[in-house]
Amino acid sequence: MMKTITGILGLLAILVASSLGTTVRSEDEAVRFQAVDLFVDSGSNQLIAYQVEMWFDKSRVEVVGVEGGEKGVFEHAPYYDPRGLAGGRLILAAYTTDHENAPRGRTRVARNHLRIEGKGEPELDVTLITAAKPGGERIKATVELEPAVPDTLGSEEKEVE
Amino acid sequence: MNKKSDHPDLAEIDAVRTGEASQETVAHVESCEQCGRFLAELRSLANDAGPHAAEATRIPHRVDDAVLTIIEKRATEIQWRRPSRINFISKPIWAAAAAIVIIFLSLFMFTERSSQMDAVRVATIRGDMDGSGMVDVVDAYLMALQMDANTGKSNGMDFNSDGLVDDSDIRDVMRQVVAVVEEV
Repeated sequence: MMKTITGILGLLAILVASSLGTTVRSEDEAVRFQAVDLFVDSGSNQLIAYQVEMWFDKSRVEVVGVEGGEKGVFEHAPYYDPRGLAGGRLILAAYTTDHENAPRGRTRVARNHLRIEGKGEPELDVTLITAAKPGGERIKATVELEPAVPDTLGSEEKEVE
Repeated sequence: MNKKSDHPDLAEIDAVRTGEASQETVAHVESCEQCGRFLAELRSLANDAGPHAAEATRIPHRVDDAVLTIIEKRATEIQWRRPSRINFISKPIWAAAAAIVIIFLSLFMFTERSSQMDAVRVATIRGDMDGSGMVDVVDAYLMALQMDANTGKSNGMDFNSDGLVDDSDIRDVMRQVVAVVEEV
């Protein structure tokens, strides 16, 4: 009997402690999720390959998913190293040999899902490592990260194991 | 003695006159009419020149001294002239020429070494299909392009050294391209 009462009291204590923990959590430690789109603008050139490097504050941001881009040759998720998801640095790269359908101009090539802790917008940075046009000649291009517009979801994810 | 004619030459005969010849030569000259005539002529000439003939051919000391002085003076002038040419004319020209040669040699050696280093780098980076000096997504694209084209060319495409050129090579190139931690 005594053991039963002790067990019930212990369980109650755990429940109280856990509920207290939730309620005392400050607003600064709030967690939210946000998707950001990666755009590559290759101008008048067709884009057949890109490689970019993303930097973020790993104390606040974790990439929890990487999707492909808009419908087309880059609709599948790019290659990335899963070790970088929580490491503050991620390299994304993809290519296509489908020259006919390689896009020109500004193209959404990937979407990153972020888990963000704390108030305010986290710092995200992206730089182009290389981009190429059909044949493999390197081209100038610009890269941008923008908050995602939730139009399409559910693209296939691909990660390097 | 001259064995060809068996007669001593004039120098040997004159040596008989001065008493410096060998006994054999002396014996020959005394017994040979022709050589005896030569000896007589030599003695006659020596007598004609008189006892001061040897002194007459000797160069006086003051002439020797004058000649030595001239030689010494000329030698001094030559020694001074040589450095002056080097200092004011030859030296800058030679220095400039040497500098140009050194610069050209340095440039040549540097260029040669750079191209050699580039060749080595291109040759040693596995998977560097376009010779850019690094492996990136463009190399994976070029590998895929060659595989699609099925050209049969496979130089440098067996990235994972498994003896096969296939999709796994491209996958491994991409794995390296996106790696954020150095592969061990």
